[in-house]
Amino acid sequence: MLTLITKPEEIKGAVGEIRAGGTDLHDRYRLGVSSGPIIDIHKLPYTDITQNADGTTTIGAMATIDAVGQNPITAKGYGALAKAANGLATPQIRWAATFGGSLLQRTRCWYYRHPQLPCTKKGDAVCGGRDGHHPNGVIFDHGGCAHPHPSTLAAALLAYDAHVRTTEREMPIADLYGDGSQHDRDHLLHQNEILTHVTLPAPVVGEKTAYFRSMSRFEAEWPIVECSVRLVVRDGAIAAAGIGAGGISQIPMRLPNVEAALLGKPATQATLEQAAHLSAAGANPLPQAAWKVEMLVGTLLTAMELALAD
Amino acid sequence: MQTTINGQPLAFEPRHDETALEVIRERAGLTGTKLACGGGICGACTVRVDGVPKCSCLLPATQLEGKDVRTIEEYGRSNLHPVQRAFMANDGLQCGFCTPGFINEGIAFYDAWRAKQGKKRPLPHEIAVAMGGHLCRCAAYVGIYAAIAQACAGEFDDVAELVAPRVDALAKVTGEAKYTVDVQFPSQLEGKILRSAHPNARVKAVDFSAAQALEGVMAVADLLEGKTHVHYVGQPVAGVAAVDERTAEAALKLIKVDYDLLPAALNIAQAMAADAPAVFPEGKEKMPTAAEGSTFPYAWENNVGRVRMGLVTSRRAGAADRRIEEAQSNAPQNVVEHTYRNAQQVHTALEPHAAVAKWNGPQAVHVFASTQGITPLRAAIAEHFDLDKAQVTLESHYIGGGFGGKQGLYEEIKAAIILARQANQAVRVVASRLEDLAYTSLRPGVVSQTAVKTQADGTPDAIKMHAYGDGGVANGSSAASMYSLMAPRSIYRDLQDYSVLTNTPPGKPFRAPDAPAQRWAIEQAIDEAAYKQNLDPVTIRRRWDPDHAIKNRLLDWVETIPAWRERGKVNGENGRFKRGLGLAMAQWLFIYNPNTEVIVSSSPEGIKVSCATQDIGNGTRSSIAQAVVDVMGIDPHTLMLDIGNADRPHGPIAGGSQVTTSVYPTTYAATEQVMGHLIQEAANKMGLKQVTAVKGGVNHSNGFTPWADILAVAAPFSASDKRGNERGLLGLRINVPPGIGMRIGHSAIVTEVEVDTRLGKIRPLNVWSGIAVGRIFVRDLANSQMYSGVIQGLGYALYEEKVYDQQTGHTLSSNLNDYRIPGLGDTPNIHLHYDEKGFEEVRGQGIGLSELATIGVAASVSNAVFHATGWRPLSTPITPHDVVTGLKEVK
Ligand SMILES: Cc1cc2nc3c(=O)[nH]c(=O)nc-3n(C[C@H](O)[C@H](O)[C@H](O)COP(=O)(O)OP(=O)(O)OC[C@H]3O[C@@H](n4cnc5c(N)ncnc54)[C@H](O)[C@@H]3O)c2cc1C
Ligand code: SF4
Ligand code: FES
Ligand code: FES
Repeated sequence: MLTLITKPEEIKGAVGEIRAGGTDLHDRYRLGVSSGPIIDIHKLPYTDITQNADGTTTIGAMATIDAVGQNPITAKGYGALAKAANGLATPQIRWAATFGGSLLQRTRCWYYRHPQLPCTKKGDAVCGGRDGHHPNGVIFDHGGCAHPHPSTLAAALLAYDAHVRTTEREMPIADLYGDGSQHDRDHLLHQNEILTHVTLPAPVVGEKTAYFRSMSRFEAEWPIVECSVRLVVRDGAIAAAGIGAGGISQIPMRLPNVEAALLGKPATQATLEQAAHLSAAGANPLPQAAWKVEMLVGTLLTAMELALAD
Repeated sequence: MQTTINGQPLAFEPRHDETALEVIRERAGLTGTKLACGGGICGACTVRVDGVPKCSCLLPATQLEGKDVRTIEEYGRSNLHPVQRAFMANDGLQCGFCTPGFINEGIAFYDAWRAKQGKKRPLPHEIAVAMGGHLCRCAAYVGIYAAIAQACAGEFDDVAELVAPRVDALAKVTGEAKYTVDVQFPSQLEGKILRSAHPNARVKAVDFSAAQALEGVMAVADLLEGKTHVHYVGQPVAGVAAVDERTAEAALKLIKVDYDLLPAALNIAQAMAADAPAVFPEGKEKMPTAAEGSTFPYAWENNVGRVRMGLVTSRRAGAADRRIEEAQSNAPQNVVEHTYRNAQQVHTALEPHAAVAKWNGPQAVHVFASTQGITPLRAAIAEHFDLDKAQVTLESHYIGGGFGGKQGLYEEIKAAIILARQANQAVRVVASRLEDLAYTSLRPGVVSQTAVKTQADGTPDAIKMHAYGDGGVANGSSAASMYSLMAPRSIYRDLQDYSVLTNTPPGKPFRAPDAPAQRWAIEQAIDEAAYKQNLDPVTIRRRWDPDHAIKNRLLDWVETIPAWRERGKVNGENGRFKRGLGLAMAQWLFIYNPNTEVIVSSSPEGIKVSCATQDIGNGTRSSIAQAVVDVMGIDPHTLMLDIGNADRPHGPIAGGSQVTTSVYPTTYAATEQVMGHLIQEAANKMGLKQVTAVKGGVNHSNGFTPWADILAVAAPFSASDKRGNERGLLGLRINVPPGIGMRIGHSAIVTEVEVDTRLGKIRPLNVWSGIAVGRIFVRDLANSQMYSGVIQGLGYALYEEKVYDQQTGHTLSSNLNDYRIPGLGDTPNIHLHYDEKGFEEVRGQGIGLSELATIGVAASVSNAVFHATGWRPLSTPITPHDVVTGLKEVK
């Protein structure tokens, strides 16, 4: 069954999974991992990216990932977010996928995406991933699911203290994902709750930004680890820092200890190296994924170097 | 809802989960748009929606409403877009299955580029980023780069002449080419296969009743065909044919199979354990094979089959082992010994395994199949279904890649024929991408114990290779045995192959079966021996076979490569990124099909060439056309190339690099006869005097007359020729199709890599590929094969690995995100070198090159990584994980 809505209130009583760009949903439907009725929201009007009077910026959930990457407001004011948007997936996907969908997409665990393998996120009794093959598993483990959260942009938004607005509430982006204790969720929206907007604080003038992912090939590969970095350098010292990291935990992560270690320090390679090493603090990797701790340090260092050179 | 496709309005009411791809292919019947991965990764399904490229496989049908959709069919052959012309001219395609997607993206890029940058030439990097959402398994990337750059630079804007080294390129760039997945009989059904979910089990009972009762189900058939056991996850158990794919899938879920689960061996270690469960508890009679052609004799001990060829393949094996052992204690600097490993690789043709079948009465079946061997496939179908060959009509006109994985009567073909018989209707069976990656075909993994012992000057004393091949339930390991055919005669050697059966899907031959693994071990061992003894890598290879003229010439060429000459010390660079160069040599057999027969005929319609062979992107049509061109100088695009039909004269399979060397000389000779006839007719029917053939026609006392004029009046004529055998040593003739000639091709590969020591990424920068196979028949197509051999070899070296869940036996790498094949941006600069001397006595003066082009690549990469870092990877693929952990050993 297909319910095509054009206004948010029409979702009341509708049954099914929400479909925006469809780039995640149709992969699962084709594989037979998901099925059932669909509520198509692609006609909802939230496509704009606007700068508000108070300097903050609102991005509609229906804006494409490409728009988030290319729009002058985001490209100029929110470099880490825009670069992350330009650096994920492929051009065709960025043209088709929505910003909201990128935050609410389901996991990419190969057990989850295989119609015959067990996964508690699919309602099975066991998680195939944790006891199985997971060299790309989590290194900040919250138990339950063993696969990292897929969203590149969620990690970038954490570094911006973004807030999300839905048809029911408003909350900090971190609350969309919780603390990792809700094992079988990829986000914490209610049934039929629609994400409508994301609001970012006013841009910081002169901020240096970067996005970097480690992977084996040139492009179009899911990251081993990915980092979004914001740095403000004043008089040769780091005056502000925001760091988001993906591919490392069941939830997208902000790295406050690294940020703290950067603050007030000279903007030098030595500072970056010291801070990057702190990203490993507190890691409790799954054994097969332990190699990724070093990858986090290296990926973060690379991203920070790129930011300084920005 | 209303949409417009290529200017044509289309009204439709989409199902809830319908995609744009289904609207375009099924409702509008435009099959140029291809489904390959279904997951937004490969781009084969790309169309332009209001000018923006989108993956139609993931695009909801609802989003086509009111939109202007453009597919590959937008431009016909008379109205080609410059990007289409550029792809043709640069041979930016092989099988053509990815081509519509690339071209659609290319057109959008061209439009955007022109609007912003005018006729500036885009850089390779810019092209790679823009085309990052496309994959080409044939790896036509070198041509694709050139095509996009030249089109953007305006080089094809006002070109009227069609330039295309590949004669079927026009059909491929326009979307006209019909692949098996595009075949559509009236009221054709969709077939699906129920596959075993268990790696080892006895099937007690199968209950079809609920599936049969489902509305829309037209046939439910047993696919076990008398087998009582299943031996791998994915083995076909039953099949369903229904009015559409969704109904067929729903019916599969209703089939109840009662299994008696048995313990399974899922990997080499489990299969070789003392108490290992038997992979074939009921006996090995129905064991498939991964070997090319016939299999070796085996001595079996539970799951481990020792190839009983030791006396033939080895030479003084005991003495070889002793020399190695003694050197381990006396002269360790002269010996290298390691365990080398290679992961299983999946063929991953972008057109999945597929077939369409329709019975015309109980004794006649019409089959379309995506196959690389129509001649043997027809024989196999006839045998399996108890028919005469003449009762089997088999067609395969365009094939979206094969690489070895589409040989024989594979499961999807069998299922289509069985279901079609039962339904008494046409049935199509197409493997999903998951099925294709998980179950249909793979290159066996290899673990080898390999040792090389040399004297201090590098002269080889002994070599040992004990190779264990994991081709799942299929036997057929030849990594070590193969080497005996290519090793210098004099060396003492202990070469032994073992097939280890595991409860995983069966292996098939893959572009030079086992040879890349054999080279991976031996070429690394030789390289390591050189560095250990302070010898130059070229010098030690000269010692290996000192009087071999061809090898020495290739090594001379290596020494002319500036980057090679100027390379520094091992691990000689400081800093995060380290560069290094590695050399590997390779050999491959000369395989041809002596029974190949070609008929060339002339008539007022033109010249036609008939042969029961096929073109999987290897360029069969172009090789045939080139032979006619070389004789008559006629425009190749006017030829009627009648291949892809099994009832034509016997033709070669696309495997073993045998096509060109089988069809070219044969077509050439038959064409000479036809030309002789035409010259006579020019005299008889047109009264021309002093007629001599020249390019494109004849000269005569009154001037020049083109072939077309003579064809118009000449009596129809046909001539045939047979490939026949080569003369071998002592005049021996070997006549086992595919006959193995007494010659061997050689290659030398030098690869330059950059290793990111921080994040473990290996970037191939340059590859020099030198090959000696005699005469190159069709230069542009040979180049394409050489390039793709390098790129596929890089995939084998760096990215590709079939990964199983070790608890269930399911394949985890079951989509194109997780099974990683090389993309455009992974393509290095590739420099080609042909050494064409030394094959003068072979018919046609040249042998095949496609497999040889890929064999040495992985070893050269590893040798380059060692040169860059001082760390030697012993396993493929060399992943970032391996690099970051491996480099710690060096420190
Ligand atoms: C080849 C490939 C590579 C990729 N690489 C990356 C990558 O590197 N990093 C990355 O982050 N992503 C990557 N992606 C994933 C991609 O970002 C997502 O598929 C996409 O963002 C989903 O957006 P959509 O609009 O298509 O969502 P849909 O598929 O329509 O929906 C996705 C999910 O979100 C829900 N949803 C969507 N919008 C709303 C809304 N407004 N309110 C409530 N629920 C909603 C849906 O119910 C559904 O469960 C990749 C995808 C592909 C195909
Ligand atoms: S790791 Fe997570 S997604 Fe994967 S099987 Fe377990 S619960 Fe499912
Ligand atoms: S991207 Fe659609 S088929 Fe591969
Ligand atoms: S030509 Fe690209 S996949 Fe075959």
